This record gives sequence, C-alpha cells and structure tokens, in this order.
Amino acid sequence: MSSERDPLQHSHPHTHGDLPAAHAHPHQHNGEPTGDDHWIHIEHLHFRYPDGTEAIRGMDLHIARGEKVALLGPNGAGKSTLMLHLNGIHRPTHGSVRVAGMEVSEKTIGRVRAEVGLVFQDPDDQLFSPTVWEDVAFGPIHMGLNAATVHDRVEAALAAVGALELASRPPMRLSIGQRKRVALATVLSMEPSVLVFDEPSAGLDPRGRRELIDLLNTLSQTLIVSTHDLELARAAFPRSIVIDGGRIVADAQTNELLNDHALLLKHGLA
Amino acid sequence: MRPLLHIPDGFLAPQVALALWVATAVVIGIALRKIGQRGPAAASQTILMGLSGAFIFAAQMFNFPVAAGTSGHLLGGVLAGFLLGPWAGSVVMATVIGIQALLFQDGGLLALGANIFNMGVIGTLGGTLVARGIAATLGGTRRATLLGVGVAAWLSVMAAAGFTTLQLGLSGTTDISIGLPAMLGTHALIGLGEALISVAAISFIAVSAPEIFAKSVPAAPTSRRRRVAAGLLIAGVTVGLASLFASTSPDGLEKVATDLGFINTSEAAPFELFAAYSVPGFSGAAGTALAGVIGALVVLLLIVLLNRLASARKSS
Amino acid sequence: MLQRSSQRDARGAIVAALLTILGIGLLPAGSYFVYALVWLAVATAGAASGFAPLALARRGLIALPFTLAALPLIFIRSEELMWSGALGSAQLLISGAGLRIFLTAAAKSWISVQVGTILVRRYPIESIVGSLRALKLPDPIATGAGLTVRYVELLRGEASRMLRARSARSASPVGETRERIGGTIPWRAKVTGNLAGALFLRAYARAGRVEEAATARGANGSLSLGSLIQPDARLFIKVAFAIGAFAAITAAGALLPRV
Repeated sequence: MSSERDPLQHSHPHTHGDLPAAHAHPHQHNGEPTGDDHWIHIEHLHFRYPDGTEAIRGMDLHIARGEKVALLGPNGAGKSTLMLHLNGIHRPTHGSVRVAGMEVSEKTIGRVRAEVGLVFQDPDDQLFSPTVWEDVAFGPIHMGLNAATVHDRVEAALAAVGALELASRPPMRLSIGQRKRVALATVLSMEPSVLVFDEPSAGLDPRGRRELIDLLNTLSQTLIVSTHDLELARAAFPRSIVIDGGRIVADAQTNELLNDHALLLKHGLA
Repeated sequence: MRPLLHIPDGFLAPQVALALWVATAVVIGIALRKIGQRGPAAASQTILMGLSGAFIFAAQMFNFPVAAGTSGHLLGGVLAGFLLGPWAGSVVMATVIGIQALLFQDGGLLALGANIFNMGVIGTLGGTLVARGIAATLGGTRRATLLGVGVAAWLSVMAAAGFTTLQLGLSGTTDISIGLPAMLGTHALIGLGEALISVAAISFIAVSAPEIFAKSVPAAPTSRRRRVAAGLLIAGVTVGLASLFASTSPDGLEKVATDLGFINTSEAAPFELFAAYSVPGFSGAAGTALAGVIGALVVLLLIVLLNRLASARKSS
Repeated sequence: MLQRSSQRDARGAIVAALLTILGIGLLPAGSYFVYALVWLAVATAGAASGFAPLALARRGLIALPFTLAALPLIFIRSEELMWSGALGSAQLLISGAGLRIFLTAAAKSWISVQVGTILVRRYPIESIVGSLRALKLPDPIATGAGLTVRYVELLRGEASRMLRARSARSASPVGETRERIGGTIPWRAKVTGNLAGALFLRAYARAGRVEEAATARGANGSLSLGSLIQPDARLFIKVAFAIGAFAAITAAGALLPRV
C-alpha cells in the first residue's frame, strides 16, 4: 500500500533548523518586559481533572531556550500532568502556559504541537504504523509538507537517533531501546524547538541508558525530562526542578539538589 | 457519524424482539458448538476472545475527522470475524453488544437479540463469510483478501442497517419508504469508513505480524464452495434489501405488520400478544421479495462462474 | 467470615429488569397515563438505589436519537389527521396516529433505559456477568465476558494514550499554511486502521501472557471457577415481586384509559 504523496509539486526551501517567524519578537505580550527570552512561561498554573482531583496547585516556571531541565518527583506528583500542558493536551484550570511566544490555546494548538515534541513513556503507544519510516513520516505528512520535504525530514530524524537502517522494519519487532529511539525520531521529524520526555530510561538496561544519555547530549533543542532516574538527571540535565503534591518545591542546579539528601528523602526520590 | 444501529427497548414489537432472540440464540448456539469442537485449543481461544472483546471496545474509540465535525468510526464486526474466525468473531461481537447494552444502555435488553442478530450474526458471521468468499474467488492473494475485507465491511454495515430498519418497519415504528433510504444512505458513508479502517488494520497486521495474518486466512480450498455459497446467501439477502429500497410500494411490509397485529392503529385488545392473526395479503411485500431472490440468484450465478474461472486459471 | 467472592447475586434484579421492560413493551400505544405511572415507580426504585430522579430522567434521554426513525410517521400516516396545511408549495399534515407511535416509542425507550441504568448501578458488571452465568449463560461466553470486562479499562487506556500520541503529532506547520493539513481522508483512515491493528497486536500479546500465567497456575481447559456469586436468600421473593410488577404494569395498560 503506497504511502500518500502530495500530488502538488511545490518546491520550497528546506527548513532544517530555521526559526519560524513567530519567534522573532520574544517580548510580545502585555508590554511587560520578560528580561531574557523565556521560551517556556508557566504562570500561576492550576489544573483540576474532571473528576475533581487537583493535580497542579499553583506552579510558576520559566525555561530559557536551549536549557536542559529535569523534572523530579514521586509518582502522582504532577510531573506528567505538567508535561501534557506543554503541548496543549491539558488546558489550565487557572493560569497560563506560553510556549515559543504563543499562549497555548485552541487557536494555536496546531503550531504548538509543531514546536513541542512529546516522547511518551511507552513507545508502543507512540508507534502505530506498519514501518518505522511511516511512523516518522506521520508528523510531517499531517503538517501538509510535500513529499520531498517529508523524505528529507524522515531521513534527518532517523539519522539523528541512529536508526536509519531500521526504516523499513515494523516497530513491533524492534527491541525496547530501538523503539525508544524511533519514538524520538517520530517527534524530531516535526523539527520542534522543545523536546519533552516522559520517563525515557524506564525499562532500559545500563547500556541502553548509556546510549540514551549519549543521544540526549547530542540534542540542541530545549529539553525537559520527567524522571525518577537521578543518574540520568545528573548526566544530562544541569537544572532540576522537584515537584511534589502538585507544587514546585525546589528549582536549582542538579548537582546541588542531588547532594541534598534530606530533600531527596522528603520527596520520595531516595 | 456514529452508526445508529443499537435499537433501544420500546421500538420493537415484543414479538419481533423475541423472534430475533430465538434466531440469535440458535446461531450463537451453533457458534459455541463449532468453537467447542476445537477441543484443547478452546481454552486459549476463550482467553483470546475475551481480550478481543476488550479490544473491540477500545478500538471503537478510534476515529478520524472527515469533514465539518463528522468523523469515521469503527464497529469492528468484520475485523473481529476475520481475525478470530466467523464463529468466534460472532460470539465476541455478541458479548461486546451485550456488555454495551448492560453497561451503557447502548441498545435495549429486550432488543438485544435483534441487535446481536443485526450486528453480530449478519454483520460479523455473514460479513466474514462474504470476505472469505470474495478472497477465495479472487485467488486468495493478500490483495484479494484485503478487497474482500473492505467489501464485506461495507456490506456488513449496510446489511445491519437494512435489517434494523426492516425490524423497525415490521414493528410499525418507522416508515420503510423513508426509513430504509435514510438508514442505508447514511450508513453507506459510515460503511465506507468502516471498510477503510478495517482494511488498514488488517493490512497493518499482515505487515507487522504475518503469522497472525496467515492464521486468519483459511487455507483449505475444499469448503470454499460452501463458504462462497453461504456468503452469497447473505449477499442475496442484501440484494433483496436493495430491491426493497428501490421499490416504490413498500407498504406491503406495513400491511404484513398490521395484519399480524403488531401495529395498533385502532382500539385493539390490551394484550397485543394475543391479537388475532389473519392471513396477510402478501402482494406488495411478496413482489419485492421475489425480485430480490431473482437478483440473488443472478449474483450467485455470476460468482460461481467467476469461481470456476479462478480455479481454472490456477490449475492451468 | 471470609467471603468466597464479592460477587453479588443479581439474578433477581436481572429478571425484574427484563420483566419490567417486557411489560413496558407490551403496553398499548398511547397509554401516556400508564407510562407516567410506570415511570414514577421506576424513579422510586431508582431513588431507593441512590439515583436522583432528575439525573435518572436525564440519563434516559440517550435513547432519544433513535426516535428519529419514528419521526417521519407523524407526517406520513394518514389516519387521525390533526392538522393539514401548506408550507410553501409542500402539502403538510400531522397525523395523530403517527404522533402516538412517535411519543409511545420515545416514552417506552426513555423509561427502559432508566430501568437498565438502575440495574447496573445496583450491581457491578462483574456481579451481573456472574449472575448470568448462574442463569445458565454458556461458559465460554460468561468467561469471555468476564475477561472482556476485566481488561476493557486497560485496553481503553492504551487506546486513549495512542490517540493522545497521534494528536501530539497532529500539527500545523508554523508560518504559512501548506496544502492539505491533516493529510488526505484515505491517509487518515489508514492511520486509524494502523492504530486499530497495533492495538489488536498488543491485545493478542497480552492474551498470550494471560494464558501463560493461567497455565502456570494450573489452569487446564477452562479458566472459570464456576459461579462465584453469593446466592441470594431472598431470590424467590424478588422473582415473585418481579412477576407481580409485570402483572401490575400489564393490568394498568389494560384498564387505564389511553389516548
């Protein structure tokens, strides 16, 4: 079954790494100066699930372009819930979420999804195509890019994660480590400026984790990772934010935080 | 558009509902016997059937936007039948429809027999036989199989819609001349969505897990003729429906219903259960049904010829 | 006292629900007064089970879309003309007979849904499946249904996470819009089919693991332990009550005036 090719033969410049126009004016909101250009602005965020559970009880968070930040915290702290705000899957009950200069809303959701790539914890939830190639191509095809651009992006994304040779394989037949790499590629092909990972090292053996850390260190995008894996945080994420009970309880250099044993114990990290 | 096939209680005359309960019970009984014949494999099949039921529930969440707020959905009847076999598939769909009725009141409890008949028996059992029949006729290649699944999926939705409307018409709760075109018209599009999704799903499985796909395609050509014949019986009934659809005098059906006492247009006995029977005038309904049977025979003839052709080409 | 199972005996309730719905179904068309009385009785039973009548009534509305099938009858049937006139160039009429059938179907389905709702509110679905098994529902169906009910939430969770993953990658390009955002319709259908296929393979694999686990615990031939319900001592009374309710409904239909 052939994959859908765009019959319109437009040619247009490749956009590898080009910044879209929206980012040209980082101070464009309410006239308030932002100081340095915070790429991610979360202000007074509250979120309550439909069943009434208060998952986020007032968070303020600012992340600069290119920062690598780890979200640490026990199960149920609100890390995943927070992450799902970054690409608009959840909308705040109160407060605001701004990404790349855009307020996350119904109107901007399409562009937000192109800016923020979410890598889910279980790659099987993310890989739903018969071949790796088709899975990585899904994002660009949905964006309406033409066949040549799609091809280039898929190639680049697979190369970035070292999975070019897996292109024609069915995802179901890959090892967990390979699937995680492909899952990342499915998001890289959309050329986002922010990458968000949910427990990326879960289920990996020490070698797999080593490879993951090496891979993360090659990425230039703004990285946010939610994890229990303190070693991962130490190895690849200079800044850590500890979340517990829906609130931010610490925000500092990772090395500092990880040496504060009392803090770690108090919040279920050790 | 979600399919509108789960008849709630209160729409079917109790006699119609009970008659369909009997029909369903008979068919499901046969299905259980066929499954039980697998002997020791039956236990692992039960587990697979249970999980497949949960899968159908979950898969019915999958949709894709079509236009202006409408979306295509999956019923999963032919999908289940193809993957599990027609008998196990129909039992799985019966279970799913039953749980839908109990847990979500999606379809009535008294009408459950009719709903299982329309979607599980006609839809799944019939649909799978049609799929296999078409695949066998066209040479049994992967492409033929996918085509068979697609056509069968569409037909299964149409047939379910048609039978649902017939039952409503027989119960006097709808007017066939409006209901049938309306139901068939809307479900033609829904059936298209069903066909596309089902074919894509099977194709996915064929690529990602060829061994499972191979198991679902029956190898034995010996009973092919029987399967083709059974599938064509269903097709024949569908053609009969189509001719009813095209017919200009559908009140034959209402006449039947009135004569059998289902419709209470005047003061009648309090117990409709004991309403007087009279020999119905079969003129209107009989004419259209006859046309349908002739149409079915023509289709049957065509496919038997095609079948001959296919097997001749294979042996040469 | 250690209970063998938390499954409760819903047999009486199931019989009562079925007989009530049958009784309602047999009521003559146009017995609005009886429908109202029956609904009051049902709403009372619902209130006794902790279901507010208003919420119950609202739940009953889910059957209403189907009344679309009966709607044309109002304008088609020619008996008991209530009104006829012209709308533009079209000749319109409203038939009392058609209206009666429409309202009857609406009322009956509305009440029947509420009966079903109460049943499943009082007894968890596992108890209902267990009770059906005790009512001689064939073993493969009962066991299969039990497994389906056990795993439906899990698989629905997988499905919704897959949908979430798909929507997370369903973006518009930044800057000018390009041709055909969202892909063509056949492509979207293909992706949806891929989701279904992928989910099936996960379910298939899980079935294999369930079987291995069951075999490891000694299951051979059948997963079922037979009926697990705690038999209800007052079953006979409940069934008698159900039959009485059926008789009452039918009698009311026969005796009370209809429109």
